[in-house]
Amino acid sequence: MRVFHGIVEIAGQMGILCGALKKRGHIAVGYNTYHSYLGYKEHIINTDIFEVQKVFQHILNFYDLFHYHYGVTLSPQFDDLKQIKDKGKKIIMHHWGNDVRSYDIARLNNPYVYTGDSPPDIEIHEKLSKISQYIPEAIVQDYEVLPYVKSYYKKVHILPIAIDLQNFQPVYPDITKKRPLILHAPTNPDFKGTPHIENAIAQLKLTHDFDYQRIEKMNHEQVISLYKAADLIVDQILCGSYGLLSVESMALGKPVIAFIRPDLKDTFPPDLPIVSGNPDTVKESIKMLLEDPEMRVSLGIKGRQYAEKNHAKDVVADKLLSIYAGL
Amino acid sequence: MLSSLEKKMFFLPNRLFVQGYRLFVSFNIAVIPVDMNVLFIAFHALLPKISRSAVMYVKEITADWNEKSIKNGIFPPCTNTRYLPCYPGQDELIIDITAFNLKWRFKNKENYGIYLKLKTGEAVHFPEDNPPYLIVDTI
Repeated sequence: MRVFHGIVEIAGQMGILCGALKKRGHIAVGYNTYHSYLGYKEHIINTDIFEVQKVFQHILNFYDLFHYHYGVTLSPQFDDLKQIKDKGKKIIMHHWGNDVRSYDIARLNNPYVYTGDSPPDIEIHEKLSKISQYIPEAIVQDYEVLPYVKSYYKKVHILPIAIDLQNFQPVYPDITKKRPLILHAPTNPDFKGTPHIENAIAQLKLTHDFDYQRIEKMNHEQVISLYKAADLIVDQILCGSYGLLSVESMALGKPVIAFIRPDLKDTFPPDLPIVSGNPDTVKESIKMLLEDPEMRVSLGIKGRQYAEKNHAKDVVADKLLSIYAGL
Repeated sequence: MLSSLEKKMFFLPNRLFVQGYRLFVSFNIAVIPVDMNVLFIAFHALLPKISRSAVMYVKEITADWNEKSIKNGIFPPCTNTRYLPCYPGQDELIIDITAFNLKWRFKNKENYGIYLKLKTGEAVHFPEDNPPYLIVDTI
């Protein structure tokens, strides 16, 4: 099978999925037109929209299946989708959250949610209405994202975030460390709840002995090397579910704090080892883990196992291929 | 199960012009990250159906061109001809073009692509709706 992925690489996911598909003998190429300081380059072609549009006819002829991400296709008005459909090729849209997180829906179950990175609700509605005229099925990463898109598509699949575990050798927290290191890496502080986290950190500094580091504007490889030294990772505490940083942290054997919405808890595998923390509880969650080094190690070990079982790229690729087979 | 293609990159043409038994094509491989080493570049092209043995002329294009100019009869100069036999029943031509690695990656302005001509007595057409592609082995 020849699979086109495009055209926005947000969290390295296009590349990881393409790599996993290639490992199984499929031709898979991610065309990325969104370039950030994160610097993703594995299994993708970093290009621009004009170059891809210029060769669209060849792309259309060559690939059997088009896997678009983030609600973006090769044409602002989604004209390419009609051409792909008319040609009898398969298409699927992969939504990642911020592209579809409608404030009106998000706030129903989450008083903390931040949707400032998402387009206005009317814009999301118009986009999804157009896309779903041509694409009957979509993919989302979890049940937090599902409600934003499920009324538009005939079928929405849940496909967990994928990770290449080869790049993440576990380094479990040192139980004897006197000053544990807490890391937080806000790609967007408003989305992750950084002010709440740092407020909690400031309060805890008065009573506990630890180091805190905020990681920003580094490329992905640099960030991963810093994670290794951490004893605790605090990820996103507003969204209600966990993201790539949590998955990578678990893969590295680190305990993780993120906000897991109570109503979503049962939609994740029961062994999810993330300690939930929202703006009202994050201080207590951090305090608990600062005071319990054994728990930090235990959660780190469970996190690695969880990542292997649920987020390893081969596990995710098997699910993806079964989704492709049903299109 | 097909064999792993994990360490390979795939490229479709950035320029392609097909005129019956002639094919002009180029690929932009300058986007391969500079810290990657290229071990092998295989050019794949689907062949027209032929009923008797033929010869494929493979040439390097040595000056700039575009699809429009060729349509207007302005053909770019070519050099370095290689002759490859093609046989009835052969679906695909695969050519080792690793020699173009450095020039096409790092001197992109000198990347004009290659020209194929299938010398046969028959009226044949390269399939336009199935473009040639590159498989690049990287490390």
